[in-house]
Amino acid sequence: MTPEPTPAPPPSPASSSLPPLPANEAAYADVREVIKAADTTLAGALFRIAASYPPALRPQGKRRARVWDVCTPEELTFLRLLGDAGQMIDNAHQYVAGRLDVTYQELAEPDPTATRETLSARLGRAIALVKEAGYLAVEAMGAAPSNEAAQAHARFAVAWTDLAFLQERADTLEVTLVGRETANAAALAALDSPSAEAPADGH
Amino acid sequence: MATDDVSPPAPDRCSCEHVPAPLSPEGKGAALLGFLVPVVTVHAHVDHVFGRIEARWPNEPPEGANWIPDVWLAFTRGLYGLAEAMRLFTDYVLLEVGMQDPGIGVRTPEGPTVPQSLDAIGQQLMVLHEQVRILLPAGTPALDRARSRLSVAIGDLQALETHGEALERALVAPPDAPARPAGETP
Repeated sequence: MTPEPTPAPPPSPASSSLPPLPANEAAYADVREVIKAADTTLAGALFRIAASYPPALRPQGKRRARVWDVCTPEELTFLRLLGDAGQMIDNAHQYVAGRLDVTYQELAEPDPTATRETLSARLGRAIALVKEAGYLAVEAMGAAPSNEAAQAHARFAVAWTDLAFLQERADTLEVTLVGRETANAAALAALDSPSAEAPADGH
Repeated sequence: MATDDVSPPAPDRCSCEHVPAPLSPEGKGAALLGFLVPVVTVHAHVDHVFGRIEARWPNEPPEGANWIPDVWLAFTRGLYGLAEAMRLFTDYVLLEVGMQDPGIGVRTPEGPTVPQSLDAIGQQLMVLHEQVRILLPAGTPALDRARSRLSVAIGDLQALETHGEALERALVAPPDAPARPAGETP
């Protein structure tokens, strides 16, 4: 059993600063941008796994159901934990927005780049971003340590610990994905080859 | 995170290194009940405090004595954070053990004060810290992850406990009385 990576300790809650901070759009903007980058990175990992299935298995309008029907237990677990970590990040984001008294914004965006980036590399990037978001959130909440800042940090720490756990297992899944993508490419190439053309009339 | 397009189906079972808990179906059912009762008790107390705050400051009209002071608005946000942390913790554990929330609920005992509710929540969180070990095998990442989620809820509670008595005083004070924590200047 691989031990869980230990998140950096949150700032000690030296005081309880319950009254809300004044709306702090500037500080929130920094936090939001980093969370958005982490979100996008993780969404890319989810979509890469889903997209690795042969097109025949995900006909138009049925992709979602088919992927869940056919993916391996390991992939299913991986995807669920990835989704769970995403929920933790979203929860931390909402917590920070509430504390900073700013309007929470949904951040999900498609990631058009780096589709072929390995899962491990993508998760590594996401971990770094989530850590950065955690520290930025603490900074945004003011110089004085507070329970709320510690709690925001703790939420991000749970998320990046989960992601680190997944990253340790990403290489194994990467092999599966690459194998499936290679098989897909070969199948598509065979479909495009002249020998795969429809038989001539009279046959 | 943009997970909508790949939202997983109802949980079957989940763990990267799943070690089946040595429980019979009956034992698992009992363990689940032992887990859910503290969970729903926490939510009942949270709802009770929410209800009292809402009754005291209904925000209609949205100003004057009915307008919730910022400090107690922040408290409700903290309470909401605790409820959300509990939801994430519960969802995670149920996902790991391959079960679904049966949707049971409980009521709080008659009329607890805010400090009593927060105390009760704290006790239930401590119960859950042990109870979750019955459902998730010791020494597994799943148990660690569940407990780290529970720790977030415990931290939220600690932040709220600091102001529990002040909130109770504010809730029972006449509507035009000062409703701020001790030591805080308006």
